[in-house]
Amino acid sequence: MIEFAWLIPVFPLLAFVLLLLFGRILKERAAYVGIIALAASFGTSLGVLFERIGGEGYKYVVRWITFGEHTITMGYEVTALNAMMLIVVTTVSLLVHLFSKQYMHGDERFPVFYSYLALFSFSMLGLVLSPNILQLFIFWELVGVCSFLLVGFWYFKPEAAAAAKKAFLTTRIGDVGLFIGLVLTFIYMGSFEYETIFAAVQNGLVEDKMITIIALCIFLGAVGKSAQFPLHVWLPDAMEGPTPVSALIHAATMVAAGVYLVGVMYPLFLASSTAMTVVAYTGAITAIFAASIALVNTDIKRVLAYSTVSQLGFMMVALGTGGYVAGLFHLMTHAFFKALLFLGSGSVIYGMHHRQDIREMGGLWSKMKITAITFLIGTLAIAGVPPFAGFWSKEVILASVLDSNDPILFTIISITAAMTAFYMFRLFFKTFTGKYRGDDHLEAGEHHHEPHESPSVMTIPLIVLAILAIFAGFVNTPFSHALDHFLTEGLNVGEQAHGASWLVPYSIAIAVIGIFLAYLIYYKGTISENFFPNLAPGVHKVLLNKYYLDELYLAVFVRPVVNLGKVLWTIDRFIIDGIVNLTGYLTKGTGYVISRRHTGQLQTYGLVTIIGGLAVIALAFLLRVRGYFG
Amino acid sequence: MVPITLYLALAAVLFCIGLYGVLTRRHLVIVLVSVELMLNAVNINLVAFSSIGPFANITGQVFSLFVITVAAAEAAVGLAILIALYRNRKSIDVIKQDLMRW
Amino acid sequence: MIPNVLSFLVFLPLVGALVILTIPNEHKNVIRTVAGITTLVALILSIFVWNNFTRGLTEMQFTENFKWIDLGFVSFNYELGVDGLSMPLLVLTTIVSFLAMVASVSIKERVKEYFIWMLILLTGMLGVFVALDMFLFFLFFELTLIPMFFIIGIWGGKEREYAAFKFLVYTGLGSALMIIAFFMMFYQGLKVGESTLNFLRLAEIYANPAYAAVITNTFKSGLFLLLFIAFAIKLPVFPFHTWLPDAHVQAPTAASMILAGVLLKMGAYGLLRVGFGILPDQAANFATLIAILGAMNIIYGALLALVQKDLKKLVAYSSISHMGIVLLGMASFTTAGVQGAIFQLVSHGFIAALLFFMVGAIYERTHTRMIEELGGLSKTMPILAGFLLAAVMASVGLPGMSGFISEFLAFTGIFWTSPDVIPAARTIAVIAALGIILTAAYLLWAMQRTTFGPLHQSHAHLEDARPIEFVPMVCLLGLVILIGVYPAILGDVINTTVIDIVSKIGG
Repeated sequence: MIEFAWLIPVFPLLAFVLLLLFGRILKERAAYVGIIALAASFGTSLGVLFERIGGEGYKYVVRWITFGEHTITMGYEVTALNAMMLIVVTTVSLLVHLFSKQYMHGDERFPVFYSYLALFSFSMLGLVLSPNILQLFIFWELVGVCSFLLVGFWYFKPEAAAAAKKAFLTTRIGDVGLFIGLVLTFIYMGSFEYETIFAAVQNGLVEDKMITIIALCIFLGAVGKSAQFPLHVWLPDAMEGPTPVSALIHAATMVAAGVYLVGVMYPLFLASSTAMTVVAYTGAITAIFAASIALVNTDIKRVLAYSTVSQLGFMMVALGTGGYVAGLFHLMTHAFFKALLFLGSGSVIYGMHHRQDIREMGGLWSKMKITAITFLIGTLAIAGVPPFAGFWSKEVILASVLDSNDPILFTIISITAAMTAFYMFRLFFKTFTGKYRGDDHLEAGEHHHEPHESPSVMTIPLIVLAILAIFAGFVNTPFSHALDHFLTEGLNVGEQAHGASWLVPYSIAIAVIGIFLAYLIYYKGTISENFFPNLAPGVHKVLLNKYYLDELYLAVFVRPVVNLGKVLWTIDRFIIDGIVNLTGYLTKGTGYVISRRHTGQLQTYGLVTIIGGLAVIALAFLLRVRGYFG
Repeated sequence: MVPITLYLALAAVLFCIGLYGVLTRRHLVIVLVSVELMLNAVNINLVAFSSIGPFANITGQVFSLFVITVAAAEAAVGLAILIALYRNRKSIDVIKQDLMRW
Repeated sequence: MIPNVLSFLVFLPLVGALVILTIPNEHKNVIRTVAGITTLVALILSIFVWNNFTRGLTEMQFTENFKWIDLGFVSFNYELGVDGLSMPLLVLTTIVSFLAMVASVSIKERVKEYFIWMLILLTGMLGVFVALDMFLFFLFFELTLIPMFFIIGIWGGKEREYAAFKFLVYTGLGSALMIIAFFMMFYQGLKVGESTLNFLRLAEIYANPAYAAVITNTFKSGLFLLLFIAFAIKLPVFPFHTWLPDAHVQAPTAASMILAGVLLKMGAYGLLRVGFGILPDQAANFATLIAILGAMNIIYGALLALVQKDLKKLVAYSSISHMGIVLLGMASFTTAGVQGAIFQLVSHGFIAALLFFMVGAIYERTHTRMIEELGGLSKTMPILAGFLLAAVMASVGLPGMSGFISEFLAFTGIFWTSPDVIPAARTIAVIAALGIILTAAYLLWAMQRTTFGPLHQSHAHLEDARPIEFVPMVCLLGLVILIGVYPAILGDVINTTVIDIVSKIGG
């Protein structure tokens, strides 16, 4: 089975090609092509995982290019980490394919949507299966393009077009860093193969300074892709894409690729304490930063987007403090519950007839029961309430941070965990409890739409994900470290921290504080919603405007570059090209002036000719006298 | 025996008179006649060298006959052009024939 | 084996032109067919050569040689041959030319003349890549100028005459410098008693330490500089680039494809063949300058593309930007870098041809190239918009497409360069890498404004891709993806020659 792992990305690729060619004929039947392909991939992934649990990895490569004496190969590889990732990606992808069948129903580009989804699944699975970091980078960029395509799926909306561009460009900045990191890796370690790189690092073939530079360059790529501060700005805007896309790409899989990248290159990062610190602090800053914005945002998808950014920050913190398993474990559980939350929000938006402002929602609990219950499960999971998946993974992250003996990090992470519980329950209460507010803001001509529960093709994925969000955490609890052993076996990723016994009640307490506060404000109304905004209106405004980072980037990077371009263009046209044209005009002018001497007077010509001839003769004579011409 | 320098001097004088005529006279017929003068100056040179030059031989005389023939043909062509020109432009004043201007 | 296959290949288009000469003007479709078939046969011949080309040899292959004009002290020889450097470019030329012929169906006026010029142009381009004799090389190099001058000047856009003259005079200036350099090179060879115009022989003479007293290093440096400027105009290198936007924008679609796809490559080819081939040490001495100019081309071209309002001009400036990668790769003097440069020549040849074709197709329908006046084209022509998007992604350097391979190799090369060759190579490389971001910026910006966004009312009823238009689009995109997915197909042909070029410095 394991040697057929290459089939896993090939199924979606086939689906993509089929849909590209026959999409117009298939119309909405396109969904079946995608679903079948993903089901096949999922089945294969399961087989691969089971075989991998009991056995060995597998690697197969072919020659890709030779330059000089260097040969680069491409192929596929099954390791413990990517066997796990395969399951995560195919599961979420399959469910999203199912969900979209109804969600995208009636869209005139329905087959195109499915072809993009298939292409994305192919790229993401290819990324996961990559045996070397160059191939990973290739698929890394491909998933970026798919993200661009899917965010811009509703291209006729200017916001969607702008968001797609922004997403691509922002991640591109990180990618250039990653690209440079790759090139340096190849130059200093002689290969893109993981084993060779790690061997070179371990044997001290590369000086520490260069390891740090390479690790930081690679991390820059992860910062872009995983939407870490300061390159996180694209992810909230990417919510302009269809909601299933947000669930698949911008929550569960692609954005986690950055974390995955750090995980894959972990021995390299471990070799540089500077790089580890940078990873940890970037993660921590991102976590608290995004969580603070999520506190005040009112768009259901954007709150989830900021929570994604924040959770990715958690994973980075875990990795940066030596918690290899913790980070990747959270990556897995987060994939499930965040996909659940996003699809749940998709169901809400669908039921609300494409409105997504939580101020217009409320009281949906009775109107869409299944969505509400599954959403609650997801919320409990992300808030870190036992026994839901998020609790276990967050607990190991806390253990890992605690183990690193950095009180600042621990404080930040604790506060952020509480904030997470708070803003997620704020979202839940505002959406599902209280009174329905959808009719409060009706404009003239609009009439009441009754929210309704989504059909079963949408709720079944929710239920499946809810089950996963409950049980996925049990693979790694303080009582059984199954995942721990599976992932670290045969890998040199350092000792994994297993937290003190007080951490379990501690993390429960954190979650409860957040939830209780949200309960008081948004359910009970004991504390007014405006209490905190009135307490510090300035802070509230800054948070609402996302710390003005978009404006800052526009003023500091975008405008100066465009203006520089304009200045250069002026120089190009008037000075550089001006010189060229001036030369032309000068030549032309000289020709004109000289041509005026041609009067047409035969006798003048004759006279000049004769004088010229005489001059030549005189010159020849003179030269002869001087002894030239022998 | 007349020394060769005298022949050459005569030819030179004749050539210069011809040249002067070509460059200064405005009447095209006179210009043509002046050209004939220059050709004849050359003929004198050829004949002189042919009979009393350092390598005297018959080639010079033969050559001068060729020149005379060519000159005759040339005069014919020249006069024909001159007439055609006069028909078209109603003038054979050299100064007015400036179609070759820039 | 076909004897004299290269001669067949080079002169076949000329024969085609003669055939067209005998066809009356009115039979436009016959003329188009003859031109198409001629180029197709040339394409097949070149693929035949490609298949029979022995990988892993440094020597010239398929060589032909006979005395052409013998002047005693010098003889102009008719010498042809291909190696790993010219082989890919030869195939690039025939492919792009064939597709340009297909794209020429939109030419409706003076069809006969047009195709005759196109075929003569093809002969010139093919000749440049196979000529081994300086004189012959120059002859073919010049032969490309005149047809292109007429094609731009007669079938071009509004300011076609200005653009045509600028192209002719500017690149003609480059040729003048080139012939001066060639003369000097030959004459200095004559001084040491070697009368030859052959590139390979000259390379030996110029590398021979016994002649160092006559062929001094100062002389060689001057010679290299002269050659560099000569070819820099063609490439084009900042600040000699201003002819390019005018020529590209004014030229008809097919000519733009050939200009960007092939003609620019002649500059780089000349630089590699003559500059690097004969004067490797001098090239290495100037490597820093070349690398800086390369980085400048990348950034400068990208910044200018960023502010263009005309879509075709944007693509033209992107060509300048992409040629910077060629310079950067060459300057590195590593196998990776030089191979990257050659990859970029081929890759950009396909990508630029595709982009110009797409822009031409859009212009033909909307009658505007102004980005502001376009918008939402995905709505009315989803297929063309899809191909445009793919072309843009290729140009951005998306992995899985050929542009990425060349960027990757070129940057690996420049990072790898020893500090002896280029002191601040890494700084230059990092600055140039910023150009990658800018490339994405201007291309995506253009996409956002043309194919995305709300639809312009005036463009509500546009025809999507016609069947014939699929030929160039699918072929070019297919090749771009093929090279991107399996670069060894190209790399294996180039590699040995690259090793040879790189091994010459310091030796």
